Amino acid sequence: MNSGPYFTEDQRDYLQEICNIGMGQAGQSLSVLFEQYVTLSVPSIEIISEKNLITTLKRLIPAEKISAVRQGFYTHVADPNICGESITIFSKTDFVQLAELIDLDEEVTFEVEQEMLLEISNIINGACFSGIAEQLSERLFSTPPSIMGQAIIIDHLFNKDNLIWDHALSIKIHYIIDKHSFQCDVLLLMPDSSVQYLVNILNRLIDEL
Amino acid sequence: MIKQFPYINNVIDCLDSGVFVIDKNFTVHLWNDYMAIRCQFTSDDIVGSSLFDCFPELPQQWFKRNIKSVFLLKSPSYSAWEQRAYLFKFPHGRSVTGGVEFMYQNCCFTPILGQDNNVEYVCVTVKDVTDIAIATLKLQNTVTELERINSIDGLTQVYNRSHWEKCFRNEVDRVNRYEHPVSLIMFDMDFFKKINDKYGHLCGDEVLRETTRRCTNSLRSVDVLGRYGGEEFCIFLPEVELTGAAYLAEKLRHIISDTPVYYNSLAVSISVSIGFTCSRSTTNNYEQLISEADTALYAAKNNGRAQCISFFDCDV
Repeated sequence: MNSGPYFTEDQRDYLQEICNIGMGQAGQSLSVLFEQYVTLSVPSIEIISEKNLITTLKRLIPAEKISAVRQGFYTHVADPNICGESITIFSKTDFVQLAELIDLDEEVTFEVEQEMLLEISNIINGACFSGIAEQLSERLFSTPPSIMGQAIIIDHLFNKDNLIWDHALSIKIHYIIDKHSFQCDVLLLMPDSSVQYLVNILNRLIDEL
Repeated sequence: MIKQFPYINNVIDCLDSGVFVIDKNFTVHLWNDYMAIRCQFTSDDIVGSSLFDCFPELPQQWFKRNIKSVFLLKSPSYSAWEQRAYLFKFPHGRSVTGGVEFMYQNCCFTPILGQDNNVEYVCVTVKDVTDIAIATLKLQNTVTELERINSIDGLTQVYNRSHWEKCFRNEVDRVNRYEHPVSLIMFDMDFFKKINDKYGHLCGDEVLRETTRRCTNSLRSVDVLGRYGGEEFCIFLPEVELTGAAYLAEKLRHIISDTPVYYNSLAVSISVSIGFTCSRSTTNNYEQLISEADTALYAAKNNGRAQCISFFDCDV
């Protein structure tokens, strides 16, 4: 049986370090943009298997109803490369507070709610991607964000038939903007093929130390 | 020194998408032919002017917010047709067959970095996604219509059994979680087979249709009526206790039975037997509640029909 990709202790430590620094930078730019203090959790890294995906997600995001936005990211398209998806998960979102956060003075309709979710996700991901890209000395490109579901249960987030990987690397970051009682989680997911490439980059960076 | 292709500006004008460039004061620096063809401004007119002066109808606040994040984060931002149909009200290629009056657009705002690695300009691309939008909207309508057809009973236009059961199951989940009451009424037409035999099946159909019409008119909008089987119907009443259910059951019995149903100027007398029950505070099971209402309904039948009986008055 394939036990999935794994890291040596050195690689794992280094990846954690890179994520910590990258996220620290992301938090700084978000604080400047929102003119609010943005708190980020220490990124938590784990390998999840396709079989246990839903159970794992429920453990990572213990919320009844969620809204989620996905956004693809990739390094230069050559084989192999990193290509993953970032999933921003919102639970118990107060859209009126959110509108204040981004200085929006429109009436908050269903479409405006969706647009806010997309906008916030894109901003957070943008900060997150450039933070990590800089640490990896790679350019990261992203695709436009799209809504995965609004006020759905986590079991309905993925279509089982579309999961054609065995294991994926998951990096979870929790964002809090206290003043607007706003919070969300970002899951950076990369399938096995990308993890191999990531390991190569980590090895190269560790050698350069 | 990299040799620059000499016709790069012609290439930008050849693109099948709108492309323009603005700086942080929203002054236009490039405006390709695709944009020029679809509005009253040529490149010569607009370059050097403020975008908002030329297009006062643009959502300025939204635009400024987007551009600000591009400048600060040095990463692209987007506008999608699903949430914002268009930024520029342009005509589109399906003026005859499209059924829509404007071009649906996906727009992308990409930073252009200067030598000091800071954002100097923002390049905006405008993509025509009208065909995708029309197809997606049509698909959404079709799915909605299929869901509707799949959840209603064709004859009476009330919910069919499987959809009603799904609604009831969800309601019982809510009842257990929040400890609110729900009541359940089940009724069955008396001697329905005789109506069919005597007046024909078309008459029987009309009796069922008229019965659901009479019911629907006496229910609140939150009450959910469904056709459970041939001539058996079920209604669940959120937030209603047993006494409320007893009152409504008796009211429905009168509304259904007091006037005959007219079919081809024939007056057909009908009556119904009704059983009802109510939830307890927690740990209710939806199948159990249905079976209780059913038990009460059969008690009403066995007791001589044309009456309402509560499950709590049945000997079980």
